[in-house]
Amino acid sequence: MNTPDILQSLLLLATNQDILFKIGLVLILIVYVLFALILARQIFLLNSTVNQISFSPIFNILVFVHLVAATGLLLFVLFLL
Amino acid sequence: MDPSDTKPITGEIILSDEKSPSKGSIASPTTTKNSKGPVGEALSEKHGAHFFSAFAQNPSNVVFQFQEPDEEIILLVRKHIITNLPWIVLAILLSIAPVFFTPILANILSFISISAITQTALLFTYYLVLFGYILVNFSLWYFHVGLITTERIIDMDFTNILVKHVAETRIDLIEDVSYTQVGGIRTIFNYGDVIIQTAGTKANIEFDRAPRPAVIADIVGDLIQQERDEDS
Repeated sequence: MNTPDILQSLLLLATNQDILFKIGLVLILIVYVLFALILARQIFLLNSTVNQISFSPIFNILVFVHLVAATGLLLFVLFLL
Repeated sequence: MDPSDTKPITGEIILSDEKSPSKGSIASPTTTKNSKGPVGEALSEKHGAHFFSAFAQNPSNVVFQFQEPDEEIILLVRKHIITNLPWIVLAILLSIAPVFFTPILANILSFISISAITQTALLFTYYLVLFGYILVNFSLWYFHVGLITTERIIDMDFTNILVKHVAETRIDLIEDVSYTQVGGIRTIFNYGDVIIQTAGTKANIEFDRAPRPAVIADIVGDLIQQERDEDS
């Protein structure tokens, strides 16, 4: 691919709103997955510090579902869109 | 609001080494851990704490890290449940916002053309972030917890997803306990700040916006008195 072709591709990319949105979404979701990971780790730790036996496992599951959903959405946007 | 509504209501448990109960003191000199009195009553019957419990006396289903075998939790305290109202209302509004705002935004931003599948991914991202917002706010409330046990008082502050602060003090190091209720809302819902002063340079412990602050102060006061009686 020569230089004009590369420039042509970049121009096409910059003018395609759909691709720009997807790139933005991927960047947001990468940051969000990191946030979800930190949140999950923190809540697992805190649930072991103060363990409300009837609710702590449910809370851990909810946080894990949140992390899985964030990762799943990132993968979906990356590979399927 | 009438200015008198915002006048602080304060209470203080004054501790004395005298045998007769001092002013404001709840504890009886003969009170033991399992006899009547706030501590005795708290320990006499067990209650299951719910995930939304802000005030759980003698919770049967709560344990904490480094709990000693003979140590019992007398009281579990969180901020009053009403303090969650702002973020709950905001979360409800945000959850229904796309229904109302999507058609309006579609008109205003008509020059933007993105595929239906990208729009769906954007909507999923929006609800995922909203779920995260709910989780974070619930966690900040749920883990901002104070524990009063038969041996010590633990104050766990979780002010931010990356910031947690845990302070604990033994009952025999507590010098004074007081509470403050300021404002109409706190008076209506009966919550306030309980301040537990410790000896020397150790940091004071504060139960922020705790429900039934007078009862908490009573229980802590009773524990201190009991500890002093045991020592003497």
